[in-house]
Amino acid sequence: MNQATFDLLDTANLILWLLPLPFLGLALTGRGRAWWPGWIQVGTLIGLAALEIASQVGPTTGPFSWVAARERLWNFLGGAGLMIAIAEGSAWFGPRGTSRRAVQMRRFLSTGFAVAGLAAAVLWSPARIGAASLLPWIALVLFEGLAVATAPVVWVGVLRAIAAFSLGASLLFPQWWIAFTCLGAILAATQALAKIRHDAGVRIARAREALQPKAIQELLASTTGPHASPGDESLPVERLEALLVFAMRSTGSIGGAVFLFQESIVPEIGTLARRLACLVAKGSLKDLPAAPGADLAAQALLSLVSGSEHASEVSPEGAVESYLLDVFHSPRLAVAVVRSEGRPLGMVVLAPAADREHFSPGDLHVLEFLAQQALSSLRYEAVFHRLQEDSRLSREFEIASRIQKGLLPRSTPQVPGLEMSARVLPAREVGGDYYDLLPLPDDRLLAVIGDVSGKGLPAGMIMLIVRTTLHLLVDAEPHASPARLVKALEERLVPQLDAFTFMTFLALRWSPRDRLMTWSGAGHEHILWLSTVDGKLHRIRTGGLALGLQRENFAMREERRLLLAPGDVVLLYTDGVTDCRDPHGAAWGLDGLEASLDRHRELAPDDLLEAVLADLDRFRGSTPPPDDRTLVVFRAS
Amino acid sequence: MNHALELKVLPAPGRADARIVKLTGEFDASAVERALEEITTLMDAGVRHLVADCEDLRYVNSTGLGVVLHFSRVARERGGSFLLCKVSEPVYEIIEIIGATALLELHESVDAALASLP
Repeated sequence: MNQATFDLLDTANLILWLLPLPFLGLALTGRGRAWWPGWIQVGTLIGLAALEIASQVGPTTGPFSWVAARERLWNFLGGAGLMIAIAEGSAWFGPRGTSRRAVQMRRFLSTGFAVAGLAAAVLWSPARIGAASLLPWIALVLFEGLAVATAPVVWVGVLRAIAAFSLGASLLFPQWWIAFTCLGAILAATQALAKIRHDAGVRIARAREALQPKAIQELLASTTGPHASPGDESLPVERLEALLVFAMRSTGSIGGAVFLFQESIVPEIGTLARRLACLVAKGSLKDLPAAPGADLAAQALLSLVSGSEHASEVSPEGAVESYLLDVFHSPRLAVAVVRSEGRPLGMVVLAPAADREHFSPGDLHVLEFLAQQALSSLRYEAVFHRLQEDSRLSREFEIASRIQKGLLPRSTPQVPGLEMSARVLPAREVGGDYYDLLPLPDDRLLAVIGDVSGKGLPAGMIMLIVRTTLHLLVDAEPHASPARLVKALEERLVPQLDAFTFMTFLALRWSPRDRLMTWSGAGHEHILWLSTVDGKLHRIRTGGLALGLQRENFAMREERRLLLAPGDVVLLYTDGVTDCRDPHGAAWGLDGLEASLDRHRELAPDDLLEAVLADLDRFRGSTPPPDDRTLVVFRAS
Repeated sequence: MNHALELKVLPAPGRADARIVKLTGEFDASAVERALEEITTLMDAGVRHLVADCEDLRYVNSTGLGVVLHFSRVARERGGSFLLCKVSEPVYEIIEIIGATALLELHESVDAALASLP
C-alpha cells in the first residue's frame, strides 16, 4: 500500500467519524427529523455492503489493494455503526411524524437498496466469493429495506444499532467475520419481522374491536337515534364525540376532529359547524382554536383530498402544517370527506399516534365508514327535522294564505256607473298588500288599497288588522268620509305597529249620484286617471303621510275629488308592480305601467287588468317580483 | 348584478359626535338587519348625529325606508339627528309619495348637512 491510498482512507475515516456530530447535536436538542435514521442507515449499509464485498474479492496488488486490508477497515465501519446509532437516537428525540416527501424518499431508497444488493449478489461470481458469505448480506439487505419502509418503534432502533456494531466488530476479528455478519443480518431480520408482526397484531386487535357487532350497534344507536328534543343543540356534539372516540380507538389515533360545513348542514347543527369540533388524546370534545387557522386548515385539508373519494392520508405544508402540529401534534392526518351530491357535508380527520408513521388501508376504511355513517345520519336527521318543520310551517302558511285570500272581495260589487276589477298577487304565500271594495248605502262604494312595508307573514298580519278595523269602522259609520276613515284607521292601527313598519293607504269613495270619486291618501302611490275629456293620462299624487310615520297627534286628513266622465279609467297599484325588474335589473317603473295602461285603454276592466299583468310578466321574464303586486281598475260608465 | 347594500362609516371632519354613513347599492329587506345593527351600534356608542350620504343609493323600498324613518325618530328622541344628503331622484320620489319629506331632513351635500348640525 502506498502513501496516497493511506491518506485517502484516513481522510474518509475522519469525515465519517465527524459527520454524525452535528446530527447528534440536533437530535439531543430535539430538532432531529424522523427521516434521518432510515436515510442514513440506507447510505451506511450500502457502504458496508460494498466494502465487505470488495474486501472479499478486491485486488491484493495495485493502487486498490487497500480494500483487501481488512484490519484497516474495522475502524471505518465502526464509524458507520456509530452513525446508525445516532441516527436512530435522533428519532427518539426529534418530533414525531414525518412529511410525505420524506416517507417517499425512504421507500425509494430502501427499495433501491434492496434491488442493488440483489443485483450485486447475482452479478458477483459465486466462484470467487463463497455463497455463504453472500447470503447474510442478501437477507440483511431485504429485511433492512422492509424495516426502513415500515414504521420504526423505539426498541427497533436499539436492535439496529446492535446489528450495526456487530457488523463493525466483525472487522476486529477477521477470522469470525462470517459469524458477525450473520449475527448482524439475523438481528436486523428479527427486528424487522418483529416490527411487522407487532403492527399486524395491533391492527388485528383494533379491527376485531371495531368490528364487534355490539360496538357497531352502540355507535349506530348513538349517532342515528331520534333527537330527544329538536332544540337541543348539545346532542349532535355528544354524537360526534361518540364517533370520534370510536374512530380513534379503532385506528389507534391520538387526536381527531369533525368538520361540518356550514352551508350543507341545517342551522341547529350549523352553530357547531361554523366552528369545529376537536378531540385530542383523552380530552373532551372542544372547539378547535379559532379562525383563521382552523378555517385555513379545513380548507387546505379539503383541497388536498378533493380528488379522492376515499379516506386518505395527507400532510399539508407551510402555515397549515404548523397549525396541525399545534393542535394535533402531528403534521399528517387521515382525512375522510363525506359528500352528498358532490357537495362536501363535512370531514372527519384523525391524527396518528406518536410512534406510527402511517395509517393502514384498514384504518382508512374504518375512518371512511364511520365518517360516512355519522355525517350522513346527522344530515338525514337534520333534513328530517327540517322537513317536519317545513311541512308544519307550510301547512300553517297555506292556512294563512287561504284565510287572507278569503278576506279579499270574492266578487266585485255591482255599483251604478262603475265597472271594476282587482287582483292581488302576493310575492309569498301571505302578503302585506290590501285592497277592498265595500258597498255603502245609497249605491255608493268604498274602495281602498294599501301596502304594509315589508312582506310575508308579519305584513300579512298587519293587513288583517287593517281590514278588520276598517270593516268595523264602516259598519259603525257607513257615512263617514274617506278622510275621516283614514284618520280613524290611523288612530287604531299605529299603536299596534312596530318601530319600523308603516303602511301606505288610499281610500276612495265613489258616489254615482254626482259621479264623484272622493279620496284621502296616506302616502300611497299615484292614482292613474285616463280622462276621456282630454284623452290624457294623469298622474295624481295621493298625498298625506303614510300610516305609522306619525306616532301621535294625528291631524285631520285631507280629501280631494275627481269627477269621472263616462269611459274614464282609474287605476290603483302598489309599488310591487312598478318595482318589478327585467333580467338586466331595470325597473318597470311608473312609465312602464302608464305605457301599458295607455296601450290597453279601450279594454273592459277585467281584460285591461289581465293585459297589464301580461305586459308586466313579459317585461320581468324569469326575475322574481320584489314584493306583493296589487292592481285595481275602475271604468266609469 | 350586485344589489346588496354597502354601509361605510366615515368620520365627520371636526365633529367627534357625528359620523358620515355612506350608503351604496339598494336598501331593501335583505339589508335591514345589518343596517339596524351597525347604526344602532353607532348610536349606542354615543354618536349623536348621523349623516347618511345617499349619492350612490340607487333604490330604497318601503322596508328600507321604514328603517331610515326609525333612525330619524330615535336620533331625535336622543337629542341628535339623522340627516340624509344627496338623495337621488328615485329615492326622493319614494320619500315624497309616502309623505315623509317633512319627517326627514334632506340636504344637498354632506358639508351642508354637517353645517346644519347644532
